Amino acid sequence: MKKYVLIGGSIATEGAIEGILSVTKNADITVICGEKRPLYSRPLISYALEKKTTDDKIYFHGEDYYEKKGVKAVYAEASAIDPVKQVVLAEGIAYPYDELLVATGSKPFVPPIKGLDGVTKKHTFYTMDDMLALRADLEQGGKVLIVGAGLIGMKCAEGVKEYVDEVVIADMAPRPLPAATTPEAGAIVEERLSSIVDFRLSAALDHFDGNKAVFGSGEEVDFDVLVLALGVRPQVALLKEIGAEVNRGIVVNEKMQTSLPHIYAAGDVVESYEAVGENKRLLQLFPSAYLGGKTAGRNMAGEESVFLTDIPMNATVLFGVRITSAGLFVGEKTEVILGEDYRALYTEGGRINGFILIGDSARAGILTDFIRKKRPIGDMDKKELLAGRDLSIYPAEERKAALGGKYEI
Amino acid sequence: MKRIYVREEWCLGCRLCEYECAYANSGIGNIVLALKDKEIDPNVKVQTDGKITFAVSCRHCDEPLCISACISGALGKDETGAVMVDRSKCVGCGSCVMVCPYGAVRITKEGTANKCQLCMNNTFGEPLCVKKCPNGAIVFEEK
Repeated sequence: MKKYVLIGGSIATEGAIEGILSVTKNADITVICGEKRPLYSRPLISYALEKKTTDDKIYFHGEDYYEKKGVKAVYAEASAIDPVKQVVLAEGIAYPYDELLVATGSKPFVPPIKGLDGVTKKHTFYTMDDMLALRADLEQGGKVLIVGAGLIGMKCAEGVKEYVDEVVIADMAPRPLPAATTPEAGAIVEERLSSIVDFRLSAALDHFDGNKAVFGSGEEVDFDVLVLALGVRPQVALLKEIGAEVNRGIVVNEKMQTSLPHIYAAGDVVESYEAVGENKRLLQLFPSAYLGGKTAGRNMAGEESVFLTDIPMNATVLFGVRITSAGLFVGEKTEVILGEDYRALYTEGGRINGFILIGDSARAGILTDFIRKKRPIGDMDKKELLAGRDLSIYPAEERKAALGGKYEI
Repeated sequence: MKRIYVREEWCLGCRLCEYECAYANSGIGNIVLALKDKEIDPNVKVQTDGKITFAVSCRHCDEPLCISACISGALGKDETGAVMVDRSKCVGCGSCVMVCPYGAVRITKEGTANKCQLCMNNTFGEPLCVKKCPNGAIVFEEK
């Protein structure tokens, strides 16, 4: 029986398990995971903190997912991949493989900041253990400073507000969610949330003086609990050490193969081919991890499969404000304001590059499909595309075929 | 698997499917009590390109993007291959809405995802939109 070893225990690994098992039931699959937990959904930790879901529901396919799939789980750090096709653990145990998936994901980036060692309660917010440690500190109350107003920092803030009243969010960027918004959309998010959290934007952290943050402007913020949400870095070391091609992330082809034989990679650790900008970059998205993992799994099991188009996308709700975006925010901008809702479409050369929707996101997936497939929009009214879209915007023959069951759009 | 297919050339745009869907999923045993004076939010929606009308509901894709994007495990396939939603697990993030190319998943006013589940999740056990379509414009077939 072919031996599959999957390093990492998150979404790309789940995808790979599903991919392998869709090709063959005759598979010896071992997951090696440094985080000592069965498969769970990391994005749910903020919802668990916020009590919008329960701690047990983070195991989103059940705590017995690996057992159900007949997969062996080893909860230990992989320390090396050796040339005789085996993965070696720190304690020296080796797991031989025929096909290997490296889905080591990423880890929070914590830069060296003067005085950080002197901060008594400091956290990152990435894993379930991070959330549990933060929650234990929050239950003591106090004032919270979150450094980083990206998605992780903002979702963390939403959870934190369940425990404390005072939350300061600081970022070097001039707006919240700098990567998932534009200046216009970011300003709306800031305005809607500024009565709930205390934003300190365009604020570069200089150092800590005990439980006090000092910013470049000289501004000081006292806090009891600190959360650092300064982005994440892919964990490429295992593959770098053995000479795989690595840029910012691991380089893979459309089959999710690395430059080394029988070694695949997927998830946050890889550079994806981004279809709008047509370049390789870190996307680090949940659906990409699953689909990339599934593609890898199928190829590992001997069925040819490719993962061609990937684009940035995000959907979230922050303090009741729904923010949905996809693609790149470049090209000609068309904006529509409908009551409380803000919508912007970015087009170029008769195609949609990207969109941002604040508020109602109904049928947004149709716009996403137009971006991903580079569908021409012809003479369609862009404001109408933003105001409301449905299947009528697809070419009639294609729509008819799709609804009639001939193929999937 | 058996799926719902639309024969749009037969659709009159009468929207009876929308009402039957709302009734089927209301949990109320009487169509009048279920629908009278109520705003409906059915899992099937009649759309038009200006000339032709067609009823749109979840396609139950072989490779559903909604499931690949679901962070909470609320969306998944049952043993027949139908895409089902467990609303008690949904956190309402809207990732499914962001990726469904048919626009067939929505976040309801309760704040969670909902979509056509082929009436497998209600007492009818067969799609009521199909059964009640007066013109055979919606069918439930293996293709």
